[in-house]
Amino acid sequence: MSANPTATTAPKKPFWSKVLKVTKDVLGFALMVAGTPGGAALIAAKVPAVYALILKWGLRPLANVLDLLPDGVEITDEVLVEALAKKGGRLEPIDLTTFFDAEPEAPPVPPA
Amino acid sequence: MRPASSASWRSLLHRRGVLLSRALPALFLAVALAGCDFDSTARKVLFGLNDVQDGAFLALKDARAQTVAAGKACGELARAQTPPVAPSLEACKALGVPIPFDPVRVNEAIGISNAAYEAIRAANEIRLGVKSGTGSQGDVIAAIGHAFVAVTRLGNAAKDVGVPFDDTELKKLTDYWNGRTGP
Repeated sequence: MSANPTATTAPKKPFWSKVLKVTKDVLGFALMVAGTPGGAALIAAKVPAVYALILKWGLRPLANVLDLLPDGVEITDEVLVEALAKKGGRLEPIDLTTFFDAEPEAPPVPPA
Repeated sequence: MRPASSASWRSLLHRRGVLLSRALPALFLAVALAGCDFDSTARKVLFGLNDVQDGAFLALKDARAQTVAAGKACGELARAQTPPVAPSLEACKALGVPIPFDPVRVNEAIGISNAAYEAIRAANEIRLGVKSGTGSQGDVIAAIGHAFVAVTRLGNAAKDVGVPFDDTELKKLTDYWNGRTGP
């Protein structure tokens, strides 16, 4: 199960997306180092701006936010409407009154 | 005078006492957040919540099918016994046809899954309404908040049933949304 929008949609990325991607990777690496024993002190000494962000947000929330920040791929109205139409769904509950009966039960209701 | 190359930029930053490595995070956040308006954030979050609901929906669909099939098989076997046995979850286990998931819990999870499905679509309708001039940003925040609650409840219900539910993406989405709108 992947909820990463970039994994399921592939609109054309603008030219600056690569810059953002590299910067995100660098920040992600810094966060990974900060998560190791003694890593936080190293990051505080070498990249104080990143350490300030860690102090403000917390290590894991910052990593989570970083993971979802835009990298040039935009979820447009059309992409979202298409995703809502194609993915997700409703299920009919199991009919417990006929649970042990041999007759096949009614097929599940398709998503609206 | 504009620096002509990245080397020139670096020397300029050094002259002004700014290390590139120190300026980069702030620069990145400024660029990233500037390109991330409220509606874009809402779209991304709804897209992600829909993916999470879809994952739980597929897992529950599978659990439902397995449970229904086991119920039918057990019912037939119980009736074939002499004398016939009244089918129940315990009897099915004793007969060698265990019911893989508690059907009552599966039904509870299905109800919660359906509610999450509706909450996500309702939130998107409200978002589109705000774009066309009806409602406010606060309505979208409230609606997406409801969708988050619904999907979180779905995760708990799926775990109660015993179907796989990875809440990593949900946590990411929660932090991302809270980071933009406040917890």
